[in-house]
Parts: sequence; structure tokens; C-alpha cells
Amino acid sequence: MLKRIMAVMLAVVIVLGVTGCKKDSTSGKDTLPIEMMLLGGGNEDENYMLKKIFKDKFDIDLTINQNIESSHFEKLKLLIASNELPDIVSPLPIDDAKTIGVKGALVPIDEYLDIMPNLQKYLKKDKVAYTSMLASDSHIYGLPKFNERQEYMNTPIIRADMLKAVGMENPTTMAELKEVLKAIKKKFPDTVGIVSRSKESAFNAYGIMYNTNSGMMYNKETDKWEYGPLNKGYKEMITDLNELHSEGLLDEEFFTSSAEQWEEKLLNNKGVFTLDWPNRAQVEEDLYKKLHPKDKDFDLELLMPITTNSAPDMRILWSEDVASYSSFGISSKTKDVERLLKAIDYLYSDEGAELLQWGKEGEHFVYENGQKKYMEHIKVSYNPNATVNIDTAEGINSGHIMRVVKNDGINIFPEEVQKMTVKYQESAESFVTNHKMKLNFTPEQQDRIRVLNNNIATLVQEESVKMVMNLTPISKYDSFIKKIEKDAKEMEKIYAAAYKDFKKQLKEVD
Amino acid sequence: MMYKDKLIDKVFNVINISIMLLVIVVTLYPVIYLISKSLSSVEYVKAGMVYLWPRGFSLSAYEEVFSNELFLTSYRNTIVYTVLGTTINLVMTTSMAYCLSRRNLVFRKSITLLVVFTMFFGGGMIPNFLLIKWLKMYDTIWALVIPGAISTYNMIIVRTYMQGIPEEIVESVRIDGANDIQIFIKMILPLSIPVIATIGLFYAVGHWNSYFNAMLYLDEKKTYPLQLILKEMIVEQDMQGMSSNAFDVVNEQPPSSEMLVSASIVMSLIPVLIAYPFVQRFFIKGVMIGSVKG
Repeated sequence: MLKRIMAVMLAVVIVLGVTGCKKDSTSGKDTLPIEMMLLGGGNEDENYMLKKIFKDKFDIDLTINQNIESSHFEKLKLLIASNELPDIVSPLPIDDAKTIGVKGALVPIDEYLDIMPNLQKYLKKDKVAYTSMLASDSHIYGLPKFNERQEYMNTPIIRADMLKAVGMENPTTMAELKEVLKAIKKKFPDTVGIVSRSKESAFNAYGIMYNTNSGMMYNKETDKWEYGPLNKGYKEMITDLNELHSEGLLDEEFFTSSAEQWEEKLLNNKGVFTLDWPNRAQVEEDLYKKLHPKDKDFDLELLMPITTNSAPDMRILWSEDVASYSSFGISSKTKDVERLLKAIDYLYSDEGAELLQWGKEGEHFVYENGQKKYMEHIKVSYNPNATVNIDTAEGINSGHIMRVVKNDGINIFPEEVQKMTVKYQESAESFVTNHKMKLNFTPEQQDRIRVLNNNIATLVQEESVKMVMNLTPISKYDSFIKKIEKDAKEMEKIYAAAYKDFKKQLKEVD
Repeated sequence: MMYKDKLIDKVFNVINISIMLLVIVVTLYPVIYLISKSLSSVEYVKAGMVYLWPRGFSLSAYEEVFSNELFLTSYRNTIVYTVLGTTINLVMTTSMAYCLSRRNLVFRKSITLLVVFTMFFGGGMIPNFLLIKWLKMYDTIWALVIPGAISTYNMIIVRTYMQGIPEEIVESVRIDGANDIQIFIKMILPLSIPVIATIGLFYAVGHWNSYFNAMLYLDEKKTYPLQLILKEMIVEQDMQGMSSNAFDVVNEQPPSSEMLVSASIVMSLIPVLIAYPFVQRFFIKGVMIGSVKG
């Protein structure tokens, strides 16, 4: 009898065990466990919007492991080397995705475009992004992100109160800026002129005004890839910065200041002009007023882009979170790829994009005059007393949005910034960044570019800094160019060949 | 002659004390600076106006640090990792050192050679990573405390110390009927307290300060140790300098990340500062091991 009872109990346990697996009530499928490695610093609990979407709509149990920038990329290298990639990696730099994708580590997304109508739609819209995503075997291994929100970088900021004190107008050209800085230096001898926190990248930040760059760049005017230091703009930039330095109008620590040192100079009335994010002006003004409540004059103001002889039209860098730079990668070891890709495709839809960018209506945002506005408890400029950081607390407006929609909500920036943004949009040309267009190189071309870059990149940086700081006479500029010319020209040739192929691929996509 | 000696002594003392004071200032200033920064108002910190004492006294950095659940969890994790890790380290190190210190151990030299071999040659990061994964230790506390259970260097220090304990004492206890385990626990360990305290401190500080293994082997943030969170904060602070985007600037609220980092570092220093005086007397004795021969 006992044996029979035991047998029945065992059978019940087995049946319960088998049927006890989690089931999707609608699709009849098991819950799909997915592991995701994500660059970010938020929480990892069930409130995380991406987790909620995957769970509620696709019965995918998402485990998110978040790392910040340095840990993310260190760990990523290790996981790639040991072939232990998690199901989703975000971001996976497109160059890495192409390299390991060809070797079979990632899912070729293009083979699944039929089940991803939303992604397909946006890829068809942005052919440059589509072509940039293609690897050497003509497959796509990264899921691009599309950012339509316009944010300007490296905007000129000046001490308007000092400008007023010397009775001068806002400078519009580099020559005028020099005159302004001279006059300010005369009246306020303690100032150090132009300050920067960009270190060596200052050549790229200031290069925009001269339509140049310290490395390879796409020149929209010539429709060619060029090595920046070979064009006339680079020479003009180095000469201008050298002159400014010689006259004490460029900070001695221009190439070495950390962000903290740079900020100190602005707050201690040393810095007169800088390039930074537009809302930085307001942030520093607020801090200064806390330090010196009686001093009402301190006024940092945004300027329109400064023009030069090499680039007489205003141009400004638009921080487009470029489609191909930050992409998702899906490991080829992932189970049920189709289900996962369907879930990811949802993130490209209007509904998915809105959930990730704004959250839920009534819970995270409300409509005001037809525009979305974050609710009172969420930290943005118009909610000064809010406590919730929507990014880290709930994973909204975070790095994994696949499509950021522009201008569908109330601007989070101060009024002055908003006004200038409109002016920039109306009058300044967007400087095309190198990220937008990703050329495809063969492994041999990649190796050669690496060698050539090793030969000249450091030399360019060092000599440029030395010439600006008067450690090498500016008269030696031409002999410096001669030293790099051969390698730079060869690099331009490789880029030209790759660009030709890119254009061909672009036509094929059409 | 007497006078001259005294003068030289005085000169020596003055120079000696001056150099020592300088060393103290150089060592102490960064700590004082961190404490002052963590207790100042954001505008003074950003304007670089904090040098020695806090300006615009504010506890906002500590309020923020203590309201951060992740910081508190990581603090607790570090204590757990340090206590468990050090315990495992001491048990494994002393027991192995005892075995290798006994002259009658079979294959003693060969085993010692194998152990010393690991001081100079390692498997490398990727094989170690795969090993941890295959042993199912990935994303568990064991990945942090088991692989480094014995530091060969520390084990050799302990072995040398134990070798110095006269064989006659051990023999006499053996004659009284004690076995090896009893000899080890009741005789050798009590006699080895100075060296155990010394390497215990080495191990504990090592666990307290380590972040690299946690970065490689842990995935879940709630299991991160304090130092990894600190590293993230410091790197984030640097990155904010270089690549903050417009949204970050809008969201920037006092206290600044610089102050948060300072407050967190101060908090992470406290347990070590508290523990050190208690171990100090053993520590001085322990580091002298092997310095006097004959």
C-alpha cells in the first residue's frame, strides 16, 4: 500500500514538475531568459522600463548587468576573447560588431529584417546609416540607434559682462575675437583669455571653425575624406592659436587643464572665452552667484559660431548620437533569436520609443499645450525640486533607446539655450562628424591605416601643441607637414578607395 | 668632543624631525584635503577655494552618500568579502605553511617547488576567467575569495616563521601524545600570532582595496564591493569632465561628483584606520621576522 501511495506521489511530482514550467498564457511559449550587458548606472530591478516592456509584451525575462564606461569596455574585451558574450551587448561599437560578427559571434540582423518592420522602415529612411552598418561580408551585425534630437556641442561662450565693460560688440570672426580678447586683457590683466577642458581634442573642437580636424575627416565641401592637418584650415588654426598664445590671450594650461581646473578658471574670473555645451553658461553663472551673491555682473553668454578665413560660413557641431556608433549586438548563442529580435523591433516603434524616452502618460509625463512634459517628481531643469533621476531610477531616457524622437516634448533646457538653439538651426551649418558615415575597410586596409596612424598621429598632436605654445617656431610648419605628408596621402588614398565602395553600396541599397 | 657630539646630535635631530614633519604633511595633507572637500559647499569646491579647512560647511555629500542604497550595500559587501576572504586566507595559508615547515613531510621540497612556481607563472586573465565560469563561481562571492586563497609570498613568510619554532618543543608535545592537528592548533598557532596578525592585515587590506576581480567576475551591481563603486564614481567624474552631454549638465545638482567621491573615500578609509592600531603591535613584530639571523 505504502509503495502504491509513494508511486502516486512520485507521479504527481513528475507531472507537476513538467507542467510547472512557466508558460506564456497567450503564445504558449516558455519564458525566455535573456542576459543583457548594458552601459549605464541605473538600478536593475523590475521597475526598469526595458525589463517591463520585455516581460509584459514578450514574456522575456531580462537580466540587466550594468557597467560604467571603463568597466563595460574592459569586460567586453574579455568576453569577446573568451567567446562568452551575453545575449545582448549594448553598446557594442560598430567596428567591433563587424569584426566579431564576421567570425560568427553575432547574429546577422539583416537576415531577420522581415520580422523587424520598424527597424526596416528606419534603415530604409537612413541609407547612410544602413550602409555604415554593413560588414565586409555584407551582413549587418549591430542594431543601430537613431537619434533625432539636436543638441549642439562646442558652442562659443563669452564673458558678456567683460565685453560690455570694454564697450565692444559680440565677436563674429576670429579676427574680432582676438581684438575683443586683447581689449579685455588690457582692462582685466588677470584674465587668461581662452580656456579649455578638451586637452588635445581642442584641435578638433576649434577645428570646426576652420573646417578641419587633427585626423581623417569627411569634407562635405569637397565630398572627400581628407587628413585634416594637410588642409589650409589646420594651418590657419595653428597660426591663430599661436598668435593668441603669444599675446597672452590663450591660457598657458590650454592643453592640460582638467574639467575641474577649467571650471575654477571660469569661476575665478580668469577665463573669458571657451567652447562647451550651451547650458554650461547657466550652470556656471548659478554657481558664481552662490559664491558672490552681491556680484550681479557675472554674465556668461552664448555666441553664434565664430567664422574664419578657411570657413567663412558659420558651422557648429551637432551632437547627433549617431546611428552606427552605439549599437546593440546579439550573440549567436542566443536561444530564440526571432522572439528577441521582435522585442527589439518594438523598441523602434513609436509606442516603444515613447515608453523608453518619456515613460507612461500620467506616471512619468503629462501633455501641456500638446507637448509632453515630465511630471513634477522627475529631475529636469523645469522641476528644480524634483528628486527622481528618471534615467537611473526607472531606465527611461537612458542609453538603450533605439530611436530618440526630436521636438515632441517641452525643451528641458533654459530659455537662453532654447533661443540660441533656434538661431543655430536657422543660421549655422551643421558640421558633419566622422561618426555618421562609417566606411568599411578590408582587414589589410585596417592594418595599414593602423600603421600609418601610428607613424603620424602622435607627431601631429605633439608638433601642433608645440607650435601653438611657441616651443617650435611656427615657421617650421611646412617642414612638419612634409614629415607627415607621405603617410597622410597614403591614408587618404585608402579612405578614397573605401569611400568609392561605400558610394557603390549606397546605390545598391537604393 | 662631548660638546661636538651633542651639537651633531642636535643638528641631526633638527634635520630628522624636519624631514619627518615633511613626510607627515605630505602623507596627511591629501587625507585632510579630501575630508575638507567632502565637508564643503559645492560652489567653493568647484571654484577651487578649498585648501585646508572646509568652506561653507555642508554635510550634503555625506547625506547623498548615505542615501545611496548601492553605497551602503557595497559597504556591507566589502565587509563580508574582507572577513570571509581573510578567514579563508588565514586558514589555508597557516595550514599549508605548517605542513611545509615540518622537515619530516614527504616530498616537502617538490611541493615547495610547485608552490613557488605559481609565484612566477600564472594562467593569464582569459583562462582564469573561463575557469571561474566553468567552476560555476562566476557572479558569486566565491570568485573573489577562493582563487586567491593562498598568497605564496605570505605563505613563505609564515612557513619561515614556523620553521623558527624549536623542533624540541614540538617533539616534547608529541611525546605527551599530541597529534599533528593538536600540535598545529594548540601549539604552533598561539606561538605564531605576530606573523598571523601581520599577514592577516596584508590580506584584509588587500581584500578591502581590491576591485579588479569583482569587475571581471561579478555582474550584479548589488554584489559589487565598495572599491568598485568608488572606481566607477571616480571614472564617471573624469568622464563628466570630458564627455558630459547637455542632459547631464542640466541634471547636475549639488553636491558635485567630486565631493561625493571625497566623502566615499573618507568613509572607505575609516574601517582600516580603526583596525590598524589594534594590529600595529603585532605588525611591527611580524615584519621584523627573519631580519635577525644566528
